[in-house]
Amino acid sequence: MEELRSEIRAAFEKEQAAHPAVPAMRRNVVEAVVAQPRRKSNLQWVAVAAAAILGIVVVAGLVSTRLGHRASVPAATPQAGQLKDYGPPPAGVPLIYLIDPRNGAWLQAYDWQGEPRGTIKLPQPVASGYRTVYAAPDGSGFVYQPQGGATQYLDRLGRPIASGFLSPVELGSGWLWADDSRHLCVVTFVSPSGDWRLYTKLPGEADHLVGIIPTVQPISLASCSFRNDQAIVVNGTGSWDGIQSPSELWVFRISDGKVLSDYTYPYPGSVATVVASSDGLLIAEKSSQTGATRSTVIRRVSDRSVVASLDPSLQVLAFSGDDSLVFVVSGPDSVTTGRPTLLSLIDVRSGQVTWHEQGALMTGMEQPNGRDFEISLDAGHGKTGPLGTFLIIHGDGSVTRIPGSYTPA
Amino acid sequence: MSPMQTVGADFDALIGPHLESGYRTALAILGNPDEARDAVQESAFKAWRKLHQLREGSPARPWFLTIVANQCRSERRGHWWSVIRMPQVDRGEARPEETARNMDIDRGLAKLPPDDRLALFLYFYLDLPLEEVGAVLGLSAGGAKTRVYRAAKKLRPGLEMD
Repeated sequence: MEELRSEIRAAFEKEQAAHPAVPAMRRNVVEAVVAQPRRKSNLQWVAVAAAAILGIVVVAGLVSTRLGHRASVPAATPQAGQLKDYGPPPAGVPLIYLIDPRNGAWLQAYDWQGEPRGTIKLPQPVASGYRTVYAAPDGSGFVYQPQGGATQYLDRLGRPIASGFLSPVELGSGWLWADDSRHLCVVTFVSPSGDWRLYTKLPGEADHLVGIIPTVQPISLASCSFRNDQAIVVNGTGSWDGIQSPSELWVFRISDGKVLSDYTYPYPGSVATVVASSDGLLIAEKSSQTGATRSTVIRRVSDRSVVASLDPSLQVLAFSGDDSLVFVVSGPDSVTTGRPTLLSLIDVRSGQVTWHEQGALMTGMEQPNGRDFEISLDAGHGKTGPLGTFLIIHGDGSVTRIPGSYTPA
Repeated sequence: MSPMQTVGADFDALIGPHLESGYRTALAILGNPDEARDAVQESAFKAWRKLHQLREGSPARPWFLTIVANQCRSERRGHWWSVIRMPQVDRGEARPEETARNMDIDRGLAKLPPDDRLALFLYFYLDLPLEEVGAVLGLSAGGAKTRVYRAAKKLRPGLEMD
C-alpha cells in the first residue's frame, strides 16, 4: 500500500497547490476567535442593569428594547448578588477555583463544602481568550499564562514565583499537574531524535527527565503521581473521555525512570478508551467491541487484575481521589454534542449507584484524596469563556450547588 | 490535575499550528477554497468554545482536525448540493510526461466517497499516524487502517495491505 503513497500525495499536492492557505490565516483566525467573546451587548446589559437600579426608566426601557433583538447572546452577569472579595484564601485547605464572569481577573475559591473561602486577584482578566489559568488539584498553585506573556507559576496567593515555566511547546504537547499539587509532568516530542520525553518540572529546580518513549506515535499522559512515585503514559490520543485507541501503556517510576510495566494491547483499537486514577493505581478500560464482547472494566495497574466490571454501556470519566468511586457517563456521544446525558457515581466495590443526574457535562475534577467530585454543567457562554453551573457531588450522593455561573480555573 | 479536569491553553499556541492543516483538510473535503476558509474559521470558534473538552496530556491536532472534518460534514449536510458538486479546485493541465497511471489516480480520488478520500488525504498527504486518522474519522486505529486500505484498493484493485 505504501507504494501508492507518492502517487496519492502527488495528486493531492496538485489540488492543494492551486489554493494555498493565506499567509496571514493563522493571525486572522486567532484574532477573530479571540475577539468573539468581546460581546458589546454584555456591556450594554450591565448598563441596563445599572440604569434600572438608578430608576432611569426611559433609558432602561430603550436599552432593554434593543436587547430584545439580542436574545441569543447569553447574559454576562448571571450571578445573583454582588461580586465579593473574600480575601486571601486559607492555607492548608483544598480549594476549588472558579473564574467570576463579572471580573475575569478574580478567581473565587470554594472549599469542598461549597463555601466561598477566598479571592485571588490576577493582574489581568482571564477573559479575552488568550489568558489561561490552571489551578493545582488542591488549589495551592496555578499555572498562568497572561496574554502575550510567558507562562508563570503562581503560589497559593496568586503571586508569581517562576516565569517562563512552561514553553509553548510544552503547553501544547501535554502536561498534567501531579497529585502533590506542586510538580508538573510533561511529555514532549523531540524532533531530532524522533521520540517523546517524559519529565517533571518544579519552580527553582532543573527539569527531571523520567524516561524516553521511542515512538513517533501520539503520546498522552494518563496519570502523574508523586505520592506513589509513578507516571502512566499511553500511546494514544487523548480526548474528553479518556485516551483513545491505546496501543501501549507504560508505567514509569518517577524518581529513577525505571519502567515498572510496559503493556501492549492485543491489537490497536481492542480498547476504545483508557482512563487512569490520579494516584496511578487503577485504570478503567472500555472495550471497542460490540455485542457480547463489550466490556468496561477497572483494573489494578500493577498486575492488570480486574477490580470491577461495569455495565459496558458506561464510560468511566474519572476515579475519586481515594479510588472508591468512579464518575461515569452513559451514552458518551451525547456529551460531545453538549446534549444532556445520564451522569452517575458508582461505588467500585459494591457497584451501587450513589448519585445520578441528567445534565450536559462540561468539566469535572475529583477531590484530592477524597470521595467528592466537582462538576460543571453547561450554562452557555460568557465573556470569560464557557459558563457552567457548578455542583459538588459528595461521595454519599448528596449535592452542593454553588450559586451562579462560572468559568472553571 | 485530574484526568478529568478540563484544560485550556493559549489558543494560538495550541491551535494556531494546526490551522493550515485544518484548511488543507477542509479544502480536500469541500473542494472550494472559500468554503474551506469559512469552515476553518467556524471550526476555530468551535474549538475555542470546546477547549474544555480537550483532555490534558493530549495532542491538539487530531482534536482540531476532528472538529474541522465534522464542520465540513455539517456543511455537506446543511448544503446537500455540495455532496454531488464536483470539486472546484484547479487540477492543472496534465504535463506531457504525466503518466496515465497518475491521471487514473487523480480521477479515482475525485470519484471516491468523501470519507474514503479524507482517509487517504490524512494518511498519505498530511502523514498523520493511523491513531490520529482514526480519531478524525471516528474510528479506531485498526479501523482507520482498514479504511485507508479499502480506499486505496478502489484506486488500485489488487492492492495488498502492508
